[in-house]
Amino acid sequence: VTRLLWVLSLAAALAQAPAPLPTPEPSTPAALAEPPAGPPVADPAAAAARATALAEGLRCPVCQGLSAAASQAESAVAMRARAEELVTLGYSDEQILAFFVSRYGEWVLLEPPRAGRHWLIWAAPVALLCLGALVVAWRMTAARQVLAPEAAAAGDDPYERRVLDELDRS
Amino acid sequence: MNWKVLAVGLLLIVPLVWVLAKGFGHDPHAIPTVTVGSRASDFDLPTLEGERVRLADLVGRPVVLNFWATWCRPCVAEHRTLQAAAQQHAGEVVFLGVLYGDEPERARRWLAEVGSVYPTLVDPAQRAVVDYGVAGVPETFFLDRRGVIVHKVSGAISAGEIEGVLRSMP
Repeated sequence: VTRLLWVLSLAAALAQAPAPLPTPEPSTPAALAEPPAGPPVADPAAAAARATALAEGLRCPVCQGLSAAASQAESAVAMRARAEELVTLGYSDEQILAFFVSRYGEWVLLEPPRAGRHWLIWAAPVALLCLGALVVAWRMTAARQVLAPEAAAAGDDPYERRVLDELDRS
Repeated sequence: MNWKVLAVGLLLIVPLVWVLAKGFGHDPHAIPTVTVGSRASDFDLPTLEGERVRLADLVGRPVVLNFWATWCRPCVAEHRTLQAAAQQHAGEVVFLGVLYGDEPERARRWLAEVGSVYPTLVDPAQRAVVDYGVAGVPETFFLDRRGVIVHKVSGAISAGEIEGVLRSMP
């Protein structure tokens, strides 16, 4: 009865469907609309190895900080299988990563791409390190400038000069 | 007061507070939905009963696509809601389930117990899971008459949400 119900429901939906809309756009994900960049990969072991390497750079959607290669979650397994399928078809690594980004967003990449605004993420630690070095250099120069006049007046060693002064006074 | 120290302190603290405020403003576990607004990937999948359903054949009718599994409690919880909505919109909207990481036989047995007025598709390669950017279940996608994904709900869906989205569809 259940089966009959949904068959009827589906048939009714199809029968009552209004005239099809103008030519549907291709429903292949845009990232895969282009043909594969290379020839199909015939060696299953090579395809699996490349898919695993790609999955290592993809985030498992339901895990905490795990790659799709390191997880046995359903969605991670599905991602690995899809990556392997696309590798076998001849898609390049860039095409496959672009496909996953088109499905899950840039969030899916464990490592931010070295392009556009993402450069900020890569450059920020180096910039902060340089800033720290500049601050240290600036502080050291300032300290040297404070000591310099005393050193000029008392010789090379200000401490020695102060001791000699005390001895002179006593 | 040392204004220089204050200025440098503010320069460091204000961006940090801004970053933290932005971070606390959203759910860190939320997965971005990037497929909304794009054309739904086509599929040609068998139902649990063996009939084939091709998404391209349904263009012209709104489609509600629900990814689910028998082991998923929220999926079980939303089952009645989806069934009621499918009955209410029979002939106008096509409701389809897609089995996610589950045994077809187990799903068949469970549906025989609880009943279903619409078919569930079997996707052994879990290709649709990746093509729709599904992270976990349940996830429900609303496709308009053109086959464009107009809304996605992660987690158990409510009757109000279904009605709201279907009403807003052109």
